[in-house]
Amino acid sequence: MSTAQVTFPLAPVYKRKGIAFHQALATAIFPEGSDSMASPHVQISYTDEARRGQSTEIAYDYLINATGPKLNFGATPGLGPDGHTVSVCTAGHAVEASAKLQECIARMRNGHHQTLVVGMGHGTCTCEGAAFEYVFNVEHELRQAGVRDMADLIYFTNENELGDFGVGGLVFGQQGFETTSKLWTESLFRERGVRAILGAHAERVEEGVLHYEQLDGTRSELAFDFAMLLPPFRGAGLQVFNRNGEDVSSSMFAPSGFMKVDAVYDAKSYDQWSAADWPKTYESTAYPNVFAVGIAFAPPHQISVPRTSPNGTVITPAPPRTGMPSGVMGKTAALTIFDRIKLGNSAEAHQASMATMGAACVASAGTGLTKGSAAAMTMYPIIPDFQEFPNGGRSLKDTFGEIGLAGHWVKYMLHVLFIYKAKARLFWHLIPE
Amino acid sequence: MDNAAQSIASAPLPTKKTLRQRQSLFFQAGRFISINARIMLMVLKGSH
Repeated sequence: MSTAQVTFPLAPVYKRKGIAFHQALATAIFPEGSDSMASPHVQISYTDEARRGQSTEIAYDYLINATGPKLNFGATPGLGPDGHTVSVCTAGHAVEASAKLQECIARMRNGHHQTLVVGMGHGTCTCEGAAFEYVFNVEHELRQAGVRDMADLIYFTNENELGDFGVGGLVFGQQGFETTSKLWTESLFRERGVRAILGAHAERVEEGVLHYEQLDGTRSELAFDFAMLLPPFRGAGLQVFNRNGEDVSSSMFAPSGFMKVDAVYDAKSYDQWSAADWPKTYESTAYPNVFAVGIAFAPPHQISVPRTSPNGTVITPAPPRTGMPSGVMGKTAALTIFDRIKLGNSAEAHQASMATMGAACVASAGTGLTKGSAAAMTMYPIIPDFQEFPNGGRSLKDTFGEIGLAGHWVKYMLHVLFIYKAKARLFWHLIPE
Repeated sequence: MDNAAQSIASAPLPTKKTLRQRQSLFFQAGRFISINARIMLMVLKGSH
């Protein structure tokens, strides 16, 4: 797909809906006001061409922090487009990655064997599903180009086993048997001839060489010709100031930069984790008129079993919370604000915990209307509840996975629907999250 | 062979019938409806 098929200008959409739009970077929150403005406000710095770099303050009655992640390439020296690897986290990154992949394919056509690495650029990354679909799309491209036999394709991940996806793996009911996402994913890796390096933390990247540590504490090097490694995520890095101008960022944000909401953040061991730890309303505990949704809220802990190497390096996927759950959280916060404007601040908050929420994930494994394929998965709930579902923590009836052409059709249909919805076209609100 | 390679090497491969079904337009039309129904079920379960 071209950049034009996945991006569009936001200003006309907001103008049509009568919403004031500022293309800007939020830099600080003043939830109690400041000397310059008595009411709560956000300080922003414009990023559009006309006003780039100019700052202003926007007053608010309610604030939703939906910044998404800061791409923390700096966590691993040499990682990212400014280093020695490519990324697919933005449309621009994906275009660059595609060009580099085509150069790699051209070298293979000239008879040069190539090593391609796809995966996670740090031991605490999330979004394993995105790397999973990218590695199988690359594999598909290599076959289409007729150079598959010239490539060593390696999936490099912080997951302890394939099929973890940052959600601790899934147990499916399939044709009268229980099977696991591990077996299902390994089968696809075997079928497509993709190697895997598991439980790995990228320590640093040099030109053509990835240095990494694994959960058993061993340190190794991997030479590559092409590497797409996703960065770990951080919060956007907003500062918070109280009425006296004192920095109180730690009252609203976790050290990771994500906003603390109504979750249980007490330090607990894995066997003490509970589905009830996860937030329900996404309200800041410090200021209840402030919400954080999607990647912007601080999760109470991982979903996958936490693991550390003998050297003390944390190698565990962070919990995924993009896509469908993000949409549901955003809508939940909006409904709460709507009720409070209409009924007053005592109106009860709407709830949408990831512990009672289902999710669908469709991971592309190759494009084409008749030749494409994708892995379609659903899970319920997202956060395993071992008390309600002792066998695997999730409903066997509602958790499933399937690979095939239909998955690609579903992926394409969802793409068209979500772009339509994001443009707020006629009946957009009927399209679910 | 490391543990990951061993585990992948011992994973079951799809049969020729399964591979045909994964690309069959007729069969996949039915799966398209089924997957969408399952996703809608997740949407309903996520509605609060």
